[in-house]
Amino acid sequence: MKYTAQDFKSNQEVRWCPGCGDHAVLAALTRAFPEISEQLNYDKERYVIVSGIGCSSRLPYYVNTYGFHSIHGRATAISTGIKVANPDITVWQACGDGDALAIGGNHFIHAIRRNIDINIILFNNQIYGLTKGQYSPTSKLGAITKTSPYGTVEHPFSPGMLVLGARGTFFARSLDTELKLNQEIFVEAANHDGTSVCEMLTNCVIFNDGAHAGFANKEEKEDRTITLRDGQKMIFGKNRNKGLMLAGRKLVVVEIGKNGITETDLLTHHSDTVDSGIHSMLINMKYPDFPVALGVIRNVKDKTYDDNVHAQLLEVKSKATIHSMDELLNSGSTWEVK
Amino acid sequence: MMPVILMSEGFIANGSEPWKIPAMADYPAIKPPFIESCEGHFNPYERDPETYVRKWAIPGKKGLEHRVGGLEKNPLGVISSDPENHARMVADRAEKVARVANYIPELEVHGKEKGDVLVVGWGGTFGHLYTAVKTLQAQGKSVSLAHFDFINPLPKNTDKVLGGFSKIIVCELNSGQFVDYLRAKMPQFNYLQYNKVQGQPFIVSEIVDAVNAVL
Repeated sequence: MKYTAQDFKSNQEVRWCPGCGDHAVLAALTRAFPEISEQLNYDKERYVIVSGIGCSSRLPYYVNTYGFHSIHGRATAISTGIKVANPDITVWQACGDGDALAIGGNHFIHAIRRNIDINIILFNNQIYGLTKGQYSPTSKLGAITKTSPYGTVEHPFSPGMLVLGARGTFFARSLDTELKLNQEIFVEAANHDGTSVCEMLTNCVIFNDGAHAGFANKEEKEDRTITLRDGQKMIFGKNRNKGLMLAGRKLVVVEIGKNGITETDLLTHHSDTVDSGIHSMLINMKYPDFPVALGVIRNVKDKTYDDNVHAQLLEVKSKATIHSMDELLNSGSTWEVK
Repeated sequence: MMPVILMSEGFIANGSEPWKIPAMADYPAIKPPFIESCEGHFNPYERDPETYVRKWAIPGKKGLEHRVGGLEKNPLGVISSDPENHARMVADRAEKVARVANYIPELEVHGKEKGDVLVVGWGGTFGHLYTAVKTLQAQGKSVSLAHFDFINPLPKNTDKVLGGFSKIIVCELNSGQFVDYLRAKMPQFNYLQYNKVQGQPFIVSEIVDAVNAVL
């Protein structure tokens, strides 16, 4: 390979807390970049990482590429500008649940709607960590935090459903500890033309420890999550004996070997199905009734904003009668006062 | 990079007037301090010793990968929370702004450079102040106008201009923001002020009366 993970590590001291889930996501990203470079023939200088404000938004400092640690909630706006100005750049964005879904909520949904070719890594620890533990738009209903001492009284966002609601073309979800899977997700996101949203369920050891523990603990993870891979049957469980089927219009968890069910009866994952029905059901699966869906859930093709902008520019330019600023200023109704 | 704030107001924003269309060829080219390549490690926070301006490395240039952002760095681009580095960086940024005075036009005086009263204004009040001063000059009064196009930094000759007059009256469509700034920046002068805070432009006669009252 042209690069190794080491080539993408910067000389900066990583300042996240020991045990923070962000460390593992960073490791997966720096391992994914050499693979992406190999597959897509990207040189290192083509990478830009943009972030907003928050713990996870420190990520650009730790990767030896171009990086912008920008303004709270505005990473998406800056990513958009970079991509549209120079489509050759591969834009990566690191943002937290507060940064992307509260302060930057509008930028987030509109980037997805426009299908700008950027890769958004959404670090979802369900809390504001940098500001010391206030509840965020993804904190669970009833979560007790610094700003909700009696429990929150509001429902959280489902990032995956926001993506679908904004007609998103790519959504993946994973756990911070799933290094190999996260590497795969990032490579697939890079290969996707359009806005790729990769939700990383990260653990904040200080202010929201165990937020995902119900299904993310090592001992139970295999029984409580399902890793979806394109073209493969939806099987999960320690013994690989559980799976998902459709019963009428609903998903059900079944056991292989019981009631005559065999592996062939299970659903096969197709991330490229344009209809978002099954993707929506997979995104909405919650433990304990269902396994939590991990992996690339949706990956469909559509035109990108940046391609459309440049196509339109070429078309309009080819027909334009005005070719310079001077011509523009002197066009229309102008006169001279003497 | 340095943010440039263009200040406007309702009178300018909502007003209209014929405008001589400029030729682009008459304008100086804008040449940002791009860097194409460098030998060895690129230090993005290194400043030009003359202007204190930093190089712009545009994403996509080989060997110039670097990180910019709100956390303070040392000149090598390494995040630093060292108190002395912070003091140095604050001073450097202030110095960079101060040195812009070397590149902006000097303050112009409409009328004689010495006299009894200097009318001072800024922004969209120019037309009214200019007409009022011309009216007073036509009456033989020793009045001139200095209209500020640049506020931070102030033009290099500001103290020389202000020092040429017995009295200075700062006319503003607010309760005195610029006059307070001038008092802080150039406390050696005594400033009179004429303010109107009605959301309406000045009337020429108001300015003429205000100047006559201090003459």
